[in-house]
Amino acid sequence: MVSGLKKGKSFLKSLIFTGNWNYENMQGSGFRLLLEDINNANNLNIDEKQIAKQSEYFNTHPFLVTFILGVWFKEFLKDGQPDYFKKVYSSALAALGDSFFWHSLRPISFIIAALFGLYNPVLGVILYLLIFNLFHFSFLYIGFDMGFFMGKEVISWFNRIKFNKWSGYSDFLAAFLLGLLLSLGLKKYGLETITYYFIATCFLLVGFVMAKKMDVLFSLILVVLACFVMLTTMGV
Amino acid sequence: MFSYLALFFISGICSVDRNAALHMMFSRPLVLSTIIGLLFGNVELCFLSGLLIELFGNIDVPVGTKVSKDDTFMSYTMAVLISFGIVQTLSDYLLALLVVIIFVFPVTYFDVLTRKWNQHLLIKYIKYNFYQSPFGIIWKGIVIAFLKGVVLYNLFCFVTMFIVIQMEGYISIEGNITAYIFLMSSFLAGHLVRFLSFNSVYKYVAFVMGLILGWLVV
Repeated sequence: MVSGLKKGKSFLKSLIFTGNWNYENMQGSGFRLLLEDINNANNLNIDEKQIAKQSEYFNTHPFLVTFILGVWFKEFLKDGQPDYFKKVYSSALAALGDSFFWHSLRPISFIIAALFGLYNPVLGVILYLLIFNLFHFSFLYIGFDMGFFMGKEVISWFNRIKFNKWSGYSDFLAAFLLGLLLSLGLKKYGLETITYYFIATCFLLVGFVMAKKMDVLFSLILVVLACFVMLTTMGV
Repeated sequence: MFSYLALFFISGICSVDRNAALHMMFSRPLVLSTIIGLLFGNVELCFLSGLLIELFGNIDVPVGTKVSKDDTFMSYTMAVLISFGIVQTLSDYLLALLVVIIFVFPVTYFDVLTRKWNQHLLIKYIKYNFYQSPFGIIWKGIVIAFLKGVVLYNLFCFVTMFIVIQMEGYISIEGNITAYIFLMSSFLAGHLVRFLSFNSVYKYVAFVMGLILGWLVV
């Protein structure tokens, strides 16, 4: 088993392994870098060609890469199918990671930060970084040990912690807190007139409708233009 | 002088955080705008501007090979314009936002070019140094991302600044910037609620409950 100190180095390198992200091998160069690090740290003397082969196409969610690294070493050391499980887990964990980290954790970290930030922006920023990176670093740090310990069964660990449900719970909470954020924001900045509430509700409803029909950037352009028109015609 | 160097460093490190390494969320609009506001002034408006752009950024996510629009650049430029007093009226703010949205297309396209450049480095590496560590090309990718932030963000920020200053002579209307930020935020909140993946009915109920709680109880 790889010691904590040796894993610590690969943990730090996992923060930079996406440096060569490209359309040819995606994160393949980074995966090879991490693999070399573990190999050197533990004197495993893996064949040069075998290591070089790891520069091939590889893409997963960057925060879950260490799980795949652990699985690869476990399979390699017991003469299993390291490359096969690398492929299987890279796509499975990419989907799981995107769904949780990008679709759910980022919005909820932002909304919590914004809620506290309405009263103290510095506290909001600190909370954002703390909440998001608590998950980010935890998964990166425990990933190698967990992948190595569980091997090709590592998915059962994700099932055990019900990882695929986290997004749903988080999104439910995010929806609630987003409503709270809008209300508190209006109160905090003294925008509590009937007219303003009516206009804000109209904007919200148009946002609901347009979300399914138009790309968010073009929607934003339209809403900025609408605000320009409102400003020039109403003058406030 | 030191403050400008700090600003260049922030632009570089945020670009790295967004594209190449770290991924510690320094590059998120809310975080970046507030930091610039703290360093250069007008933290409250910078924070609100970051809030608006982050609402947009949370919907446009980098899934798979998709290159999402560079909301880091948007928030960086808006925060600099606010902090340095270029945005003074509501019409300035809306105009700056519109220009920044237009400039986000070339800035984002540069992300694609960066990946192609990384690809070029990889092909050269496979040809000449295949049995050496790939640390060199990874490090170069990070440096390119840093330079992209320093050069591109500041260049487009400067051009935006120039356009806003020129336009101020033609259109300058006072108004409540915060009120308009919350109007646009309400619009984007509608987008974000749709984007969240929880069961539709419960999601909307939770959202409305949040609105009511914020209004009545807190």
